[in-house]
Amino acid sequence: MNTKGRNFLDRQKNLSSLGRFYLIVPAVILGVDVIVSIIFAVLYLAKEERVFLILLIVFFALSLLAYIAFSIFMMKRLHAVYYEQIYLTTYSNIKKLAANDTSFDFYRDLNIDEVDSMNDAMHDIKKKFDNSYLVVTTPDYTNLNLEYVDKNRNLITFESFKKNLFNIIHVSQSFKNTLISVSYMLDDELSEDDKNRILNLYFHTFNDYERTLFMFGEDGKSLIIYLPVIDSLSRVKEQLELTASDSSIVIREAGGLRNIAPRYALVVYPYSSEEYLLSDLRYARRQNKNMNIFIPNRIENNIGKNLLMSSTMNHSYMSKILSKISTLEYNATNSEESETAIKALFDELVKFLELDEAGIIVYDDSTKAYRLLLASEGANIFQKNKTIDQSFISSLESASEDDGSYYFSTRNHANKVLGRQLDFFGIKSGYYQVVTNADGRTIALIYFFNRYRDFYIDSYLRESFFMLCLRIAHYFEKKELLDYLDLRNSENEYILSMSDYMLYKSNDEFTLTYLSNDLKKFIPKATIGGYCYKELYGFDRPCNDCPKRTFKAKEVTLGKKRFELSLNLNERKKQNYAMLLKTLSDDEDVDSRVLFNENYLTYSYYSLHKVLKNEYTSSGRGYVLLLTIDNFDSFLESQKEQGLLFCVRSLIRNIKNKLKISDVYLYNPSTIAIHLPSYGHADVLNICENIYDVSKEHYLDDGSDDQFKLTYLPVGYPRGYASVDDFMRHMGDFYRSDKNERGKDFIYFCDYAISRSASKREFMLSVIENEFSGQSTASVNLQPIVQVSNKHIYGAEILLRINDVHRGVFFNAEEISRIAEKENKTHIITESIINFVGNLYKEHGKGAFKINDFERIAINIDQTYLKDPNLIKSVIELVEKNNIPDNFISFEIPEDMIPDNIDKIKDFANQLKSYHIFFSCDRFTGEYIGSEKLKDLGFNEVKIARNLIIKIDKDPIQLKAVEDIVKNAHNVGIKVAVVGVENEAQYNILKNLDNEMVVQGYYFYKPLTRSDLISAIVSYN
Amino acid sequence: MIVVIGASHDDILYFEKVLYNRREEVFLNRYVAYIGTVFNQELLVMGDQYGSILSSAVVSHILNKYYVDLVICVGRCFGIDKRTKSGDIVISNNIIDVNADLSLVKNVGIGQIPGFQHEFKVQNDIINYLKKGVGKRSYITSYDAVYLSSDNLAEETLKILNQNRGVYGITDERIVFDHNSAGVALAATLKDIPYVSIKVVQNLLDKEENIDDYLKVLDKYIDLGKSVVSTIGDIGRNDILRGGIGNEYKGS
Repeated sequence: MNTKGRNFLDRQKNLSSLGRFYLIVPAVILGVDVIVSIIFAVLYLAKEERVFLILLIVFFALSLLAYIAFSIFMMKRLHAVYYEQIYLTTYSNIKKLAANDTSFDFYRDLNIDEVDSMNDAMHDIKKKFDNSYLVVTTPDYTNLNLEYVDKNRNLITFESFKKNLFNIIHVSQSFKNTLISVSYMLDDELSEDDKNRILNLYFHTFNDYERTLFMFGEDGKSLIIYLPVIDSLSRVKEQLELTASDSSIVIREAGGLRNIAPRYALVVYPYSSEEYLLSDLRYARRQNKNMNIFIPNRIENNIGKNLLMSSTMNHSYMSKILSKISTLEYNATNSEESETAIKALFDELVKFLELDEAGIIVYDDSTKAYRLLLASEGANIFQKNKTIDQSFISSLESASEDDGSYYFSTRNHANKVLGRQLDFFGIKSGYYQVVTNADGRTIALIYFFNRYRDFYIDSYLRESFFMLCLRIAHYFEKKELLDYLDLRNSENEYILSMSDYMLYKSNDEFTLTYLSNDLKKFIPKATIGGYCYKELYGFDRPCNDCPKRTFKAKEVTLGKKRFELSLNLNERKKQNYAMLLKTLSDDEDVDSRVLFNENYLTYSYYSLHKVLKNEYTSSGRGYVLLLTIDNFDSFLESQKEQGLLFCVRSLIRNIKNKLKISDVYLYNPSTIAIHLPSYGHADVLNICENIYDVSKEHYLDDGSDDQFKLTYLPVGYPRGYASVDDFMRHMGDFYRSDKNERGKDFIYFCDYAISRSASKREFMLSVIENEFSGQSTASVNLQPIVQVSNKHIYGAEILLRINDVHRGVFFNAEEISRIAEKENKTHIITESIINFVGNLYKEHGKGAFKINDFERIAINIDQTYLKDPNLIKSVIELVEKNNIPDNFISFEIPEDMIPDNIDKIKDFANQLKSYHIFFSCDRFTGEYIGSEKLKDLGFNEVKIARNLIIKIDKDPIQLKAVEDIVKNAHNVGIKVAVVGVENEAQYNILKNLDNEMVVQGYYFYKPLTRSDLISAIVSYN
Repeated sequence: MIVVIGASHDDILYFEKVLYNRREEVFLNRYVAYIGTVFNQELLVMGDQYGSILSSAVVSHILNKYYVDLVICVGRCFGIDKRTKSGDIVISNNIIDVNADLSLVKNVGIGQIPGFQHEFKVQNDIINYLKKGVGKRSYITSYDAVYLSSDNLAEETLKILNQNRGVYGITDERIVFDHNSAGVALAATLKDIPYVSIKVVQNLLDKEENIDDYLKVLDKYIDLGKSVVSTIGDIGRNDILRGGIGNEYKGS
């Protein structure tokens, strides 16, 4: 379009003038064309000169071109205005409106009046929705292709439910939707009579829910109920429990009649996404309980990804509400102000949500009863300053969900224990949150109640209520804590008055913030808010040797008395220093100082001597662990005496409290001794590792990075030393020995010529490097995989067996891979395993393996290996170089890590797709992922977890669970493997269950070395 | 005919299954009863009779329509006495309605309905038959117990009991709680027909109810069912029962 045209178009102000322009221009072109053509035609006919004919043709062609060009321009312009702008934007907004999304699109600025007015209208609509909330509680299935079995349209086929699951959830996706299975442990299907009775029973149980769907499971032994839009899970659970007493069936067995009660399984959307709902239900059914509720920990992912939840039109209003109390904080001076803010917020909420009232009930410690603290305007359910019956609070507590919240849209949807109390107070619907303290006692109750109306909110609003209540709950928790501290403070005052200590607090500016009562009496003129040096000591400036600056105690004189002034080490905070004044006295209990070191607050060397003497008398044995603080001097220099004391005391306290070791002694000022009676070599190593972790905590709050550097010197007793004195002498020699390098956090055993790092991580890292470097594969064992049909060895699983030489046990393989990942050493393990497989195949692939039908080597991997970029390269190289057959290499990935790494696994499987690598889901229970999803991800096999197999021969419920897994796997075309087969009974059961499965377990083989595996293959296949 | 009444459908499930020539009959347009024979004795079985009021009305209706020899109330109950354990089978020797307190309206005791005795005593013969039946068929011991029956909640019943134990004349007997025995006993007494309650103890009354305890009870229902059916056989062979023994009206 040329500039002239654009200017012309830019002047258009409305659609009708635009239309006129598009009509007039072609008419003008056509008119000019006709007139000029007639002129040229007449001239040609009159004068018979060819030049007029040529002119006629040329002009006609030019005008035709002009017409075509204008038509193209016109079509483009109309397309841009009517289709791209008006139609597409309007359609998008309608769709958003249907999905309760208020992020409306606006029309591009086209300089057209009508479009501008449409934009204005959109702004109005948006504004309106931003200040209102919308809840649609009745799902509509009319557009879904559900296959109804009965005339009343209650019962549908399970097949059609599965097909439409996504759409069924979609129509009520902003609510909690529940899928319930009522199943009977039967051999045969339910009889028609029983089916009818059970269906009627549950239909009546849930008749107060809208659009409930019922279907019988594929096995014919269970009724599946889909309950859309539930208020609270506890209510549904209660309904099921109440119905249980009517829903048993009787079967006739060889021993007579037997009652069979149903087992319930329950999963909830959005805790289980639509994708996982059915597999989660199957998992829940396999649990060995009568009421199996499965709420997986995937909520954050699901809700985070739920577009509707994050963009619902209810979002914006509640966000505004929440932002108003984001600064709500409790302190003694502003409690009234904060409570007024909460009240104002409640007033606003009550008005917006058309609630009858909102308020807070609190526990009053002075009267030991509950009372109304505040309530919205016009509230009258509870009377202010009147005690609220404990039974009411107890019933609210017992009905609430695990997070303390509870929502009931109508009186019918409230739990039975609650319903009675609600009737008493005349409450019809509402939401409340129980706030408890650390002891589990209810300290506050935040409520939103309706007296005469129902109250419908969707999951987003409910979550918003929860967040709001949580914020207010924090306020009350803090209030209770501060009240408690106040109480403690008065108790402290009492204790101080009984001792010869006085206390004051001052901040960085030396301003007094607190004076203990005794000190107030001692120096009555001292006032809080003045400078401590002036008010207490009469100086004009702070003392240079103030313990706050030097971290050293000093002697001061107040009046005529001498005091020792020191910093309270336990409250060593920069903002508010606690200073202790101790009356100086010459009378000290010398004996007690010998056995107990007052500076370090622990037992002294002499106590250790006494304790060991007792041990020798009773012929005890054990260890004394000496911990030398190798950076004692540098600590002293940087932190001064009191800082160092504080840190060492904290270390000792942590060893005592966290590691539950009480026998901690001061060996000398820079060495701690820990008595470990009856401890063995491995126990001492564990303790050293734990002490290492404790010693690396930051004990200083000044931001410095100073950490303890220790040397661990365990010395065993009695070890041939006849007396305690001999042992102590020997220990002293070992302590002073310069053979042991200091400052490395190393453990040096006195009686073994071994040393290692006290850090478990460092130690394992060194093990990884030693074990996996080069071609060393001594640490790999192979667990044979056996075909259940003929007991032949079909393959083997590689097991990492890394020996902890110091303890004589194997390391946990997962722990090794975790450490390796952290230190970026995963590739060392990967390469080592791949090399092992390569060498194994080179040596036996065409020989022993081929002849004896050995077809699989399984390698366990987890997310740490998936992150190793070299793994795929190494595997491809391995397959190509050795010409390894299809499906020979199998990767086993644990089920629990799959949901969080779906994209990585998909990518990993895709890259190896053309190399025919076999994928197996290890430790499969169905808890985290269903068989269908595994198939989609490219898995070929599920390996059922050991804990499901362990009682298969004794527990029919476990057997049923395994049967379910096998059946589901077969339905989607996935193979089944089993681990942990330990006896013949288990083997026979599995063989009958699936003759094609492969199994592992001690019933067949324990893990074998490489050579033993080859001999076993040759002998038994 | 012998009538078996239960509070829930599970209570009468066993009896429903063992009925020979079973047919259904609907009472008062909504309550389904199963009628058939056991050991040649005609049996009417009905579940879903929650609470004293409903059970009293429905049983009265049945007793008006049929000639009934005995009314047996089955199902589960809750122990008040600490000696009762989950799974115990208890047979009523006395049934006391603890719904009622008309002592201020008429000069009657707490729990007494004017025009009736204070407690609904059960014939010893029936208790003995049932005891024999339980011992013979399930090899477990059954216990005599006082049934406190009320439509009120458990904690309120406990409160009433603690305040009025002396009034009820309960000393060292086993005590259990249920919801419908008093209604059945009242209706049967009005028609002078013998009655008894035999139930399985689910748990102690002050313990929270849960589904696991209920499932334990469900296993015992088979023992209970066998015992009652066996007793029905015995009654059919030998005896003529007479209602209202010892229930003479002592008046206010």
